[in-house]
Amino acid sequence: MKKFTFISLIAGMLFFSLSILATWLYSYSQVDYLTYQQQTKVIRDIQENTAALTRKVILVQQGQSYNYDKVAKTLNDNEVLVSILASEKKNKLSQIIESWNDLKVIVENIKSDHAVYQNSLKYFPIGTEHLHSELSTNKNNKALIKALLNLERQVILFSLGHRADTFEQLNSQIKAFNTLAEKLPKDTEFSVLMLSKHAQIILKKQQRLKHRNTQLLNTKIPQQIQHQLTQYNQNHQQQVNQAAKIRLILYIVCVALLLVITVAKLKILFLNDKVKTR
Amino acid sequence: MKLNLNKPFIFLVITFISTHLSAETLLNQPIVPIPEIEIINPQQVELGQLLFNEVRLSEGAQLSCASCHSMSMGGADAQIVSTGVNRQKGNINSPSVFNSSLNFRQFWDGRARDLMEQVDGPIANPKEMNFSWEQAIAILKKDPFYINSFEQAYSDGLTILNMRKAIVSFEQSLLTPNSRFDRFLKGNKTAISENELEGYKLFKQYGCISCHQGVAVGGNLYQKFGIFGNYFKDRGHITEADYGKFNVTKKEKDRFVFKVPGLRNIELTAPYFHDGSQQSLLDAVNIMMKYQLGRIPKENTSELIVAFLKTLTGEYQGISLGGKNQ
Repeated sequence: MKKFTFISLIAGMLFFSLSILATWLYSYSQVDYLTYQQQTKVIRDIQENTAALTRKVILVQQGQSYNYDKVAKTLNDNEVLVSILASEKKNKLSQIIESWNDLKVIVENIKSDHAVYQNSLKYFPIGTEHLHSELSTNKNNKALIKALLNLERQVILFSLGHRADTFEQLNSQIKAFNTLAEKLPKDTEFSVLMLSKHAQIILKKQQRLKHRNTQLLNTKIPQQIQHQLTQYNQNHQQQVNQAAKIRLILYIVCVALLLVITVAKLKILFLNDKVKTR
Repeated sequence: MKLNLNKPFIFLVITFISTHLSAETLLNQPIVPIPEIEIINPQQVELGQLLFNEVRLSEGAQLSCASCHSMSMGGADAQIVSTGVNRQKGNINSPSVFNSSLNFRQFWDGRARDLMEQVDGPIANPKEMNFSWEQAIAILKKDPFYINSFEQAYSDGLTILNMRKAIVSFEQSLLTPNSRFDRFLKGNKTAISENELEGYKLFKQYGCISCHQGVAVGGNLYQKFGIFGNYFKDRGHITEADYGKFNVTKKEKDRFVFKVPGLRNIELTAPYFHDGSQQSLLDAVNIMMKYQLGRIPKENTSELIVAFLKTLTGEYQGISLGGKNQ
């Protein structure tokens, strides 16, 4: 009877320990697929939206898109997604957030600069024509007319990317043109100064837009996202591998548990029989 | 060989051509018509409307959101700057609440990302409503009507978040579609007069369209005020509100930069600009010509552009905001 109690106690303890171990292993064998899916979805959406944003900014500048609504919408959509990342407060994501903040500023600057640039670019030939007819009424304006037509040609060539002159050379040409206009009547001088301002805007904004478009296309976000995705995938794979190992151990523990139960049961039956025969 | 063109076939061809042409009219214009309003939850919108008109959201129950954004005044208040609690004068002209959901950012300086962010501003501003959501909810929780209404509209009842959401729902419903220009864009060629059409062409030719485009005819980019001249120096008495986006970013390049306002219902929202300095639309257009576009308008140009701008007045709840002109 004493032996029977002792075996039952050992078996019970073993059963209890193995059960706890099995439960613990089971909880550790779980893979958090949901978080993984959410994280990768957000980051992939940011990647797609960033690409779409770049494309839409280019389309507006190429005149294939007629307004900035789609650019503004995509930017706002991405802003919402990035704010989800920001709420995670993980240092490794801070680079993406930083790059996004830079990109946002670049896009806003492109929109503003492009609007002003387009206005001046469209108006410059019209303004030149108006000024030309205004100056042609006076024979003393021949030098100014010559300078005006030369400036028109150079600025248009510059805007088309055929850099007949450098930015600095053209700027000094504009200043010289303004000096020539000082002797003109106030109204005509104002027209000259306005046209010069348009020319300066074309030169300045074209340079800036070129620079900003380069920045836009060279954003580090795609690489950073790719890197982040690789990390997420690696972490997830590690979790899966670890879960597989734990599940193997869990399987062994479960088999051991079954063995304990079986052995205990057999032992009890054997002892019961022995007791009965006595 | 004789083609047998029966009537249904001709009808189909005409339908195809007219549909195709009107679609093209829509696609090729920088301005896009306002879509029809789709109210998903009318209860929330109604509740938002009540809160929008609720004076108990301000210090001493002195004023409501509607005090500065009146539906009968084009969604603004016709003042140079609005008057807040204790008769305090604000710093900046009150923008129209109509179509505000179409703006890419909120406030003149764009400091709020969306209406949900914006809605906190006026309540907390000491010069506007000088209150807090905590104070407001404490008052509304004593009112069984609000408790019941919120319980019906939201599963979690009366909360600060739901109060904010309700006001935003109402603001999102404040679209003004079906303006005469929208009808023109949709293919109704007689919706605007020849003069107004000429005004639209000039609006594009003179470069106004560079900034004022899209569904809101603006409201989708920032721009510096004073590209071809120093507007602020010429006007004098520069205030902090004139600094615009600089007040948000503290970057020098953002000084005097503002969100480009939308021009929908513009004839109803005088005085114009962030400083409310221009009472007439014609004067506002001339200021834009000088400081933003660097153009000297020909005779009648600004008048024609104004005529076009008046076609942007839309409808609210099926009724034209512009009265007889529509």
